[in-house]
Amino acid sequence: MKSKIYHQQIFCTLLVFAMLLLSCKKVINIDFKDAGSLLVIEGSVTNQGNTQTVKLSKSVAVTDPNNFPAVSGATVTIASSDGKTYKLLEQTAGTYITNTLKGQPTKTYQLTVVTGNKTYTAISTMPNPVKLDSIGLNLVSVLNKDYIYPEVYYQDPAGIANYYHFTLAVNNVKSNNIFVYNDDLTDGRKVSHQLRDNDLELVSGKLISIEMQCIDKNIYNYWNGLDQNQNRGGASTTPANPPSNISNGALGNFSAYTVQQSFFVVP
Amino acid sequence: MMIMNKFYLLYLKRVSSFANYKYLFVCSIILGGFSNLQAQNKFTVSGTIKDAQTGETLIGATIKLQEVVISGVTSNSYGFYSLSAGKGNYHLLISYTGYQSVSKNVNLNQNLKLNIQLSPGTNLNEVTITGRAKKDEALSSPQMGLQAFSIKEIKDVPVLLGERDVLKTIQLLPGIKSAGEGNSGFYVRGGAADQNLILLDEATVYNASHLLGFFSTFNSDAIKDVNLYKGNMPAQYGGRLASVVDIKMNDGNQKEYTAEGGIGLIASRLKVEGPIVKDRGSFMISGRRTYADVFLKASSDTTLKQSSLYFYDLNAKANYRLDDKNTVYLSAYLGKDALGLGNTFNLNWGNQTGTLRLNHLFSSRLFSNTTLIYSNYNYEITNSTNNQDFKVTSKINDYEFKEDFQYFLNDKHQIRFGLDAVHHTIAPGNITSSETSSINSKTLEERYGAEISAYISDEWRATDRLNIVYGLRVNAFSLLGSGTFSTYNADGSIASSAVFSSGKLVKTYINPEPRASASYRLDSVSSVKASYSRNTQNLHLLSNSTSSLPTDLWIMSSNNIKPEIADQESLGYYRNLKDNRYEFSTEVYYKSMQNQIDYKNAAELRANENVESQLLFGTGRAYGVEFFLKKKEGIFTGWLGYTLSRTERKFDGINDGNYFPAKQDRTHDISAVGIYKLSKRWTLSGTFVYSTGNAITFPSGKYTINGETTFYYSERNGYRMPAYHRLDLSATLEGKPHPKYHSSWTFGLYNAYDHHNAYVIEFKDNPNDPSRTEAEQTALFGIIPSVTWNFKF
Repeated sequence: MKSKIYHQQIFCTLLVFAMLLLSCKKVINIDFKDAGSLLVIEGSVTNQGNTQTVKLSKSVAVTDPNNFPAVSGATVTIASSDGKTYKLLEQTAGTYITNTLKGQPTKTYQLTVVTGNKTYTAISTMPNPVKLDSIGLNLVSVLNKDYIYPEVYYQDPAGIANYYHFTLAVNNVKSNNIFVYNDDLTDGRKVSHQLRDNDLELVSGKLISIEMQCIDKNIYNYWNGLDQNQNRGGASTTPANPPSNISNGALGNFSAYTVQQSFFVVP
Repeated sequence: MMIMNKFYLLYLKRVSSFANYKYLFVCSIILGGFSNLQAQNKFTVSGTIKDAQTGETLIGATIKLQEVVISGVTSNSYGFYSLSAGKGNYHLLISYTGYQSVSKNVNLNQNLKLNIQLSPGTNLNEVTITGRAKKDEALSSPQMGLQAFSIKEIKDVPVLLGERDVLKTIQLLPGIKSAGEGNSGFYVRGGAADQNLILLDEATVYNASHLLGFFSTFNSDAIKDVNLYKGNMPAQYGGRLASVVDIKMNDGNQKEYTAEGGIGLIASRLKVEGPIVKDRGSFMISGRRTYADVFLKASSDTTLKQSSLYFYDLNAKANYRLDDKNTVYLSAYLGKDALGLGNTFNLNWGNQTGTLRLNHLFSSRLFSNTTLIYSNYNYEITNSTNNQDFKVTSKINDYEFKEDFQYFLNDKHQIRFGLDAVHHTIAPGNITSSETSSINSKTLEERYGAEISAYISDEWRATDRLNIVYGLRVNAFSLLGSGTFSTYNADGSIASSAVFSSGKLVKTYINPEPRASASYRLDSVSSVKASYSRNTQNLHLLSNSTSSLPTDLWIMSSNNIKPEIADQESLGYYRNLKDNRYEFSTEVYYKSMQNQIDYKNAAELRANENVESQLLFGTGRAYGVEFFLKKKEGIFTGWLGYTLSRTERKFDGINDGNYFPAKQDRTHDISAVGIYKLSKRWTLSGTFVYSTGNAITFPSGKYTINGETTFYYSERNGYRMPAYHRLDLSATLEGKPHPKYHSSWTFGLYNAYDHHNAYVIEFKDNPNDPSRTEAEQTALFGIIPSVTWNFKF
């Protein structure tokens, strides 16, 4: 987590340095290989409402358009550690839902997907929620330009491992950045994080929406893996598929998490 | 012989403590045979070779007796030589690149001491006369994979932003590849960047880069000589798999006080040197500082105004000849980088080294060098953002003792033996924060290690055609307490933990490293060579990022991490052409590597006390052929290098356990360097490099997660970056001769045809058609002009 903070800073500094140099960009052609069509499972159980969704789709070649084929006709169930099993029904192509499951913290959920004669399973435990105390705005001035970043505040509970995932949207445009944190170095502290995305211009009147998700360790590893693939000023790690909690080689993840939302308008 | 025997016994004690009888046997052969080899009526001529103008000792000068076909030695790192022959009258020939050769009559009827001064042969017209001494040391020396040059030889090679840089110049040699655009990091024969041992006056330099790698820590003003061994290290070197870069600082002018320096676009330099006592001792102090931050200060932007972006280097050295037999040397290096953004974030890092040496001549044939070394690398990060304040410090430091002997036994055997003991301390990270910070204070346990190596080697002129060097280095490494030491299961969980008290041995590894090489003269202009060597490495740099960062962590061998081992075999053919004006060589090599390190997906390497649980261990192999053609004399000089090579790694858990190309696997690598003396005042030079692009991991599919296009990777390093090529030009104008001072201008053009080499390639949605993915490359440097003004008083 600290590594993330200082990484961000290092690369931010690097970026300034790179801007001082004469860096230049251009689009090039790459002869991509095609790994074929793989199953992607995106499932969640939250403590908000009774509707839980699992989406099934397929991967495509890099050169294809971003139309990811839905996978229909699968059998999708979620079993709760209290012994109940919920069958999800296909509402639209590839989207399976149940309207009778409200996730509860500390319970463990098992997802089972049967499609194309293969069975895929995943387990996730919903952690206890940590209260999102407040959100604020932070002004950073770089190269005569002001950047406004939303900042989140919460009190990390001492003595237990916590994992957090935040999503950010401005005027309903979602940030591409991944905001994921653990408490390795912030255990028991009053914690704040800036959610930085320079692609989203925060100007007066824009609506910021932030969702705080308390996630389990596997899901932290998943988001953290995805995040490490992101290029940061030319110093990414060798990209790799994030460690998924789904068996049998399916891509994606299944996460049981708690949800808190907060909205405000840039003054 | 008395002393010899004493050290022999001492050595045997050492070796037998390692209880390895096989190697004991080899050592016995090496030393045992010599007592009979002492011919009765042989005499020795010995002394020191120096520059006549500055009194600077000359390393690697060739000394031979004209009348004896197979005689010939090179001066050692302190300019010392020793030659033995039967009674008689001889011509002693001394030659050194860039200097006028000297011939002296010697009447060898007793042991002679003969110090020799060579004058720089700077005048073009004089270069053609090189005396009778053939500069063919490269042919007859069994040493392979060695690139040796003095700073003088590379001063005209064009460089980025006018900063001469030895680490960038060596990247123009075959078998050595740049770590990236403008980067002073390098890869040797398929090795990783941390597998190079970089020594500055014998002290290990742990991070040899400034400004995130764009410049090296070696200010060329302060440097005399560079030797680079591509894996076939002599036995006195050890500790890294791929190479040793042995850099020696200038000793300082023994005759007069001089000052020289330069003013460039990015940095200025100043060096002062002079005698402490004339012809007896001298000092040298050299400094360099960049001033990009001066421009930042001039900016109207407040953040930039408060930002820092600079580095400096300070080199200092002094030597003093106590008497004919003893000389002391003290050298020190201090370098620092500061990178700061506004007053919120600062990253500083730097190396400090210190070396105290005593050269002692036991006799005209036994030369010893006793060295005490300190080396430290540290970084500090300070973040003062509200609620997020923290400070991280980390360091690695070494205390080292070396005792090295060179024994010029007779005209057939030159023995080198010694001992090297190092104590390592690594403080992986110490985090401090205020009460209101988001971040807890945390201190990762310091790690301690002791590394003791003993070595012996014999350079043996077996026949007038065959030269052999064979030897053995034995390395014992111990990880020491105190601390908690864990072992890990495959899933990264702790399998066992044990607490050790201070100084207790946690884990010990003993590795014998046999080394041998031989050269065979085919005729007066050509030779073949063969060599084998084993190297081991107990310090490993953890870096899972595509570019190196000053915060990358050094870690020692442990219960989980075994010493890295490399075995390299090589064969070479050397030939001098056109009356020795051209030098051609080709070498093939095969290297296998054990206990290599890679990282699990989503590894957390920082501030992680269980960082060893994040590692994967595997093997590697590297093989290739290198061609090198060098023109050494005339108004046009330069070289042409070509390498065809492959380097691969194999890890359980990556690429289904199959071999995959390492990042630095570049099939073709070409470099050309040309220096043309247009007139007495103008020198033109150019370099051209071409290499296959790095092996890299690109996506082979895409899918959607959370509404975001996400990429799927099917194999490690299955793609290639576009090929890299670049032309650099430079022109130097020497000022009109003046009795009091000398000045020159150097004009440079980096990337002269403005080729945009890919630095990174990113994949993103096409802005005009968001449903399509496009690949966008970022180039770091386009064409960059530079100008530097140099002066000397």
